[in-house]
Amino acid sequence: MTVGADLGKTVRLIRRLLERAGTAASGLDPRTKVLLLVCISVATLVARGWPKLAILLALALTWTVLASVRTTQRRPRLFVWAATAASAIGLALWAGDVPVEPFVAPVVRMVVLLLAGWAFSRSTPAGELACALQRVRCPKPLVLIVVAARSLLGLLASEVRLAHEGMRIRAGCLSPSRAPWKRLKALRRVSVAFSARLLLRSDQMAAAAESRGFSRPGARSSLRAIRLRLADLVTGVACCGAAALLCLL
Amino acid sequence: MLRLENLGCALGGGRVAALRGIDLTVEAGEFVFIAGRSGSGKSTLARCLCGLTPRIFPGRVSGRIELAGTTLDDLRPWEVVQRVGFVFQDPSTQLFAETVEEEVACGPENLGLPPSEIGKRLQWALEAAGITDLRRRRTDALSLGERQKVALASVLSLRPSVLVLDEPTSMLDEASALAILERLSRLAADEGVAVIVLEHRTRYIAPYATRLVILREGAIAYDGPAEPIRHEGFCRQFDLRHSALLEPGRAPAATPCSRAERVASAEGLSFAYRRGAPVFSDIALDVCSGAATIVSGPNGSGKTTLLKLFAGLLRPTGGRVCFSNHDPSASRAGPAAGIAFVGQEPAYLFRHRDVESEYASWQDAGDDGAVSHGLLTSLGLWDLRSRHPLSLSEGEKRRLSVAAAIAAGPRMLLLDEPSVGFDGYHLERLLQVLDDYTAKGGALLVASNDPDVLQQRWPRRCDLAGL
Repeated sequence: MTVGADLGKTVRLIRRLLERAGTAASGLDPRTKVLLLVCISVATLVARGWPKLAILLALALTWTVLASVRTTQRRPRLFVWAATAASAIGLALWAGDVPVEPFVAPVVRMVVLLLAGWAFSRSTPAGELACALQRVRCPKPLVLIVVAARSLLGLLASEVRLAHEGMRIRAGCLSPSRAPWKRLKALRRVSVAFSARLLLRSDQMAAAAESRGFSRPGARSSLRAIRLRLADLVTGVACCGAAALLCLL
Repeated sequence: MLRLENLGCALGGGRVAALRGIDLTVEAGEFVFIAGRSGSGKSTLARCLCGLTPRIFPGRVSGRIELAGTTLDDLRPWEVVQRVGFVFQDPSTQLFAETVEEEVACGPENLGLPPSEIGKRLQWALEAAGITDLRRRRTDALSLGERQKVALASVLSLRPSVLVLDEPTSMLDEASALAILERLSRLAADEGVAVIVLEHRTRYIAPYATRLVILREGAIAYDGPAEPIRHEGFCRQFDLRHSALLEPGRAPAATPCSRAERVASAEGLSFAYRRGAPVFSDIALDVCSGAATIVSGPNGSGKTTLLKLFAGLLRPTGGRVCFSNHDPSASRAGPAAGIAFVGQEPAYLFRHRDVESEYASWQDAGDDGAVSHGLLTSLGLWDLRSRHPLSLSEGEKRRLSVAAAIAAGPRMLLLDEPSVGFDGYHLERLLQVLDDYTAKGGALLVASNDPDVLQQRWPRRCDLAGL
């Protein structure tokens, strides 16, 4: 009972610490997070050998954990579990002295890039990112693409989900044919209907964008005031230094 | 403020005259209610007022639209949005940002306003739409009704002098709908905004509208005071909704459902989305053959979720749903055969190029290959049989999906907000068709916030409020 209570207390303490660290990490200036993402990406593509890749994997995993504990999800996402499983496999391969190149390293690199990308997108709202891009004088079309990209991805995901639901509902009402050519015909119909629907949606999105003044020339302003703090400076210097060491050594 | 002179609009490459000779002047502070049958040109008129037709949506526009003395053609798109705000019929396509706060601030940010002004407008718009509690919520986690309020707030934050709203209360519960209309009415009276609302739910609008415009086949059939809308004869003349038209009498008391009559049942049903709090818990509900059951409740109370659980599209987190002694939630292959579900996005059920073949594809042809078109005629779709299903108006799409789903002959029919986009005439027909379906032994489960549906004499109720 006492051991169980102690264990529970320790888990709660670790979770609290992680949440604080996660909040601090996501509170960094978006420009710092962009720098962190670029450094990890470049180092991952350049680094050779297990130790360097393992360091990068550990870094990306830490960022992912910090980004996921801050969010209010009740259960960890499948993606995080998959990445953790992939990392465990990678560590097992390392421990088993399996040659890194040419097969294992690309997989590890991909996992690192996916983890870092997910952590970045999870901890950086599109509005903040757009504001940061404007500060570094990015062209307005690029800023608008950033603002709209996530919305478009979300819309696409929801359209795919609805199309899948539509297929399931039809299958529930009607008895689908098992003949291959009829199935192909049905698949063609689904694809055509889905494409037509996407075209319709894109028109509606364009109309909505226009009715919000997206087409106005000149700079956008931002509700959020972003500014670089000491933590940003320390993190920026540390990640640039670490990336340089990993690339050069 | 807003003046239309001989406005016309032809769609479909000029073949269909959606609007004809519209002459209309709307002054500052007016609350104009535009009504008319489904497909009478209301949405087309709204799109023309904002300049979206022909800029985005295809159509040949003729005549003249004037905003505060300036012709619409002389204004650039971002100049128009500062004068005319447009809330679309389908709020899902109107949201861009991840959170409600970012969404509402998006318009003023695009206009390059200073942060202090954006903050003020954000707060004002959230209060005006009654969604200050949703400020930090993610937009993809909102119900359609909540999205409708967010879409309204995001347009209000642009502070337009003319506000055009296409069915702004179609997905809202009664309290939210009345609160929104009350605020819009104050906006018109206190701040001189010209509010133009295109709606079918006459009972909500009637107390607030200062003027009524009725469209019939693309032309103005009535332009005058809104008072006559309270009279049954007037509503019947223009096929508008009126409580007396749809009042079938006192609802009989619900009788317990016997085991033989029970088509589906939920026991101890609970559900929570992955990132959210429980939507509801411990629900018990029987759906019986030959009877309709209505699921009601405020926006976000889980009506759609409950229907999806019955359809086997979601898996419950607790309890179970049984369909004819079978557990659909345990099946990975799809909903149990014999269940038809028409959701809030019915267009995803369509696969064919025209209304007639779409409808025919949902029913088994007889021995001679003949297909019955009875429901197409009953629901007023026969004249539209050669149209592409996706080119129909929202109300027409719903009519087609309900007709198709019934034609498939399911044992249980699940309808989510089936009356959105329905005028009085077609709503009456729809309710008759649904009564016929239950009279033939079908089990009907309807989720709705529409008072014209809720007042039906269907005795079985499930109110999710407060669960």
